[in-house]
This record gives sequence, C-alpha cells and structure tokens, in this order.
Amino acid sequence: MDQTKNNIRALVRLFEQSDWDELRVETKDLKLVISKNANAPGLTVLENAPRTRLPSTADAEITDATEPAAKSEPAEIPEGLVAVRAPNLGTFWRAPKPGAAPYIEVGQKVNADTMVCLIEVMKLFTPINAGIAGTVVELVAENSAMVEYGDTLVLIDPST
Amino acid sequence: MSLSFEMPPGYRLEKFDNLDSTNEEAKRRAQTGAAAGLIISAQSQSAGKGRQGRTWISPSGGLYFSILLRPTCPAAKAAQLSFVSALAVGEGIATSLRVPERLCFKWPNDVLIGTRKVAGILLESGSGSKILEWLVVGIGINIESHPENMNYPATCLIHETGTACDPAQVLVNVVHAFDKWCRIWEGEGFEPLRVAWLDRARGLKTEIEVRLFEHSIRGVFQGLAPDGALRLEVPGEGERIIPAGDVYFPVQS
Repeated sequence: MDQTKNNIRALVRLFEQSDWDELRVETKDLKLVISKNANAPGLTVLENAPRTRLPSTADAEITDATEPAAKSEPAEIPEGLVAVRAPNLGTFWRAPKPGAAPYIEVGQKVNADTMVCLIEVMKLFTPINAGIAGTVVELVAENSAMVEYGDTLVLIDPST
Repeated sequence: MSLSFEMPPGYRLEKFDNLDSTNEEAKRRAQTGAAAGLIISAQSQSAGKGRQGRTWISPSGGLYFSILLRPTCPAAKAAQLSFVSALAVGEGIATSLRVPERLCFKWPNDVLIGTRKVAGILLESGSGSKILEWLVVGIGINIESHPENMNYPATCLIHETGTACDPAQVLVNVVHAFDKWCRIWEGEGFEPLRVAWLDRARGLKTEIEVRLFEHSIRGVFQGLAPDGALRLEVPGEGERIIPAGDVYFPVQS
C-alpha cells in the first residue's frame, strides 16, 4: 500500500504542475480521479478515504475500485469530432443577449480562441472558447439550457 | 485628501468622467495585463449594462465602478464573488440608511432597500475552460436618482438617507467592505458569506418566481446551496438547484 500511496502522491504532484483539468487512472486495484472541479463526475468521497486538498480550490479524492467512475458518462462523441465541454454548472447562452446574433453558427470556421458561448452562474458570465481550430458541426446545448460540468456544448471537426 | 478616502492596500482607483461602461474598460485593461486591484470608476456611463444585455441607466450623480480581480480558481467558485460584492455594497451603504434594517438582498447579488433595488452587480470573466485569467466585478449604485418604469421598482440612496451622499465616500466604504469579505471568503470559505447573505435575504421561505429565458418556475425559496446556487422547492417536483435566473417576488397588495 505504501508504494500505492507514493504513486498517488507522484500523480498528484504531476497534476498540480500541469494545466490539466482532470486526471483519471484505473488499475486492477485502484481507481483514481483528480479534478480541479469539485463537482466533477466521479468525485465521491468515501468515509476514511485519504483526501488531499490541492491549492487553488483543486480537489483530489480517491475512490474505491468498486465504485462507479461517474454518475453519468459523457455522451459518445462521433469519431473525428472534438467536443467543447461545459467547465461548470450554469446556463448556456449562444448569444450576448436575446435577439442578438449568436457567437457561432453550424458550418462556421473557428480558431482555438474563437468564443463559442457564454456560461452564466450566479450572474458571473464566462466566455467559452472553441479550444481547437476547425468547423462547427453541431450546437449540442440549447440556448438558455442548464448545463452541467462536462456536458457537450458544441462539436467541432478539426480536420476541415 | 482625507484619510477616509484611502483605498485598502492593493487597490488603486482610476477615475473617468464618462465611459461606455466601467466593466468594458476594466476588461480592456485586464486583457492588456493590468494587475488585480484596479478599480475603474466613471461619473456617467453611455452604455452601462446589466444581465442579458439590459441597460443600466447611468446618469451623473450615480456611482459606477468595476474592480479587476485575478482569482486563481475556476468560474464555479469565482461566481461566489457575487455574494462578496452584494455583502460589500450592503455593508458600504447600510450605516447611512435611515433604517438600516430595511437593507436586503435578492438572489444572487441585487441590493434592495425594502422592496426597491438600489444597486446592481454584474460579473464578467476571461475564458473559463480552466482557472480564470481575470474577473471584473461591475457595481452600479443609484445615489441621487433612480430609473422609473423598469421591470422592477428602484430607489436611490438620497431617498433612503434623507441627506446628500458623496459617491466618492460610498465607493471607499464599499471597497473596504469588499476587501474584508474577500479575505473572509479566501480564508474561511463560502459558509460565513452564505450565513451573512441569508440573514438579509428577501423572500426566504416564501413563494418566489425564477424567470429563465423562455419560461419561469415558481416555488418556495428554501435558501442557498453550499456553493451559492438557489434552492427552490417546486410543488410536485421537489427541490431544484438553480444556478442562474432572475428572481421575482409576488406583487404584494
């Protein structure tokens, strides 16, 4: 078990130094989910489970291998497409205000830093960027819909 | 300059006569590398804004300012700065009110005196796929006048204090309170803010309406979730957790 603890510590250090949002590792004896989002699927706290709090609100929690990895797995993404996902719970807005032109349309070319939508939570409005260059294939989330962490918002084809 | 006009350490004020919007100026400055703690104020705004592109009417005689922050956390947590801001405005103006007990909050961050809105707060941030690069808290406080015929009743400080209010002093008071609540939030987490906000929440345990984009939900306002989201007990459905929406109270006869 000491070796396992050391491995977990090494993974947590690696995660802290990275710019990743989430890290999932699964072996025969262990399932480890580390996320910077406290609401991430799979972050269930077990009694007596070791718990490591990372700086800057990042959470690391260890679940038993028999626990399901996530309450709901993300929907299947068609091969070759990349999903822009919700970074947190909130309301999905396609346009800056009712009646205004949407930020993106299907068929539009985008760059990694093209803004694709706004997410509102408690009157904080946060723009979400495409994160990858390509063509918008589908706007999955409905305007004004409540989205949860990890929900697919937009599908992008990076090959076109 | 009187000592009472000094900002807390780490904050610096830049004053403008007129801007399109103090949030827009603060965002421009954020994008060109300005450090956290910058406060942009304007005597009037030509394009002051509220939620969903609504206009925040901003004639001279009001207080309009934005605070630039660089929180090292994701948007879901940074949104709790809505409550930091509301508590700061409440504390910054409460002592000058004739009846401080009338001050209350409408979820998540409107500041009311009785049933009338005296201040509005809008938060905007940089790209949110990871840790936020920057966040701007925009605050508008009606001081000498307030708009009529809005979709909610409004008031202004001068009506509620009975005497003239110096916007510069209100600004300093609010920023000091903001700094205080920010430190509590950073040091002790959200719970003390949740308790303080609920202590002055309007409509707690009563029926309210939450308007979303194309529909609204009615239910009993049960309080705040641990992260600040609104807990609404909807008849026949049970409790719903609402992360965003406009709260309305039934018209009282």
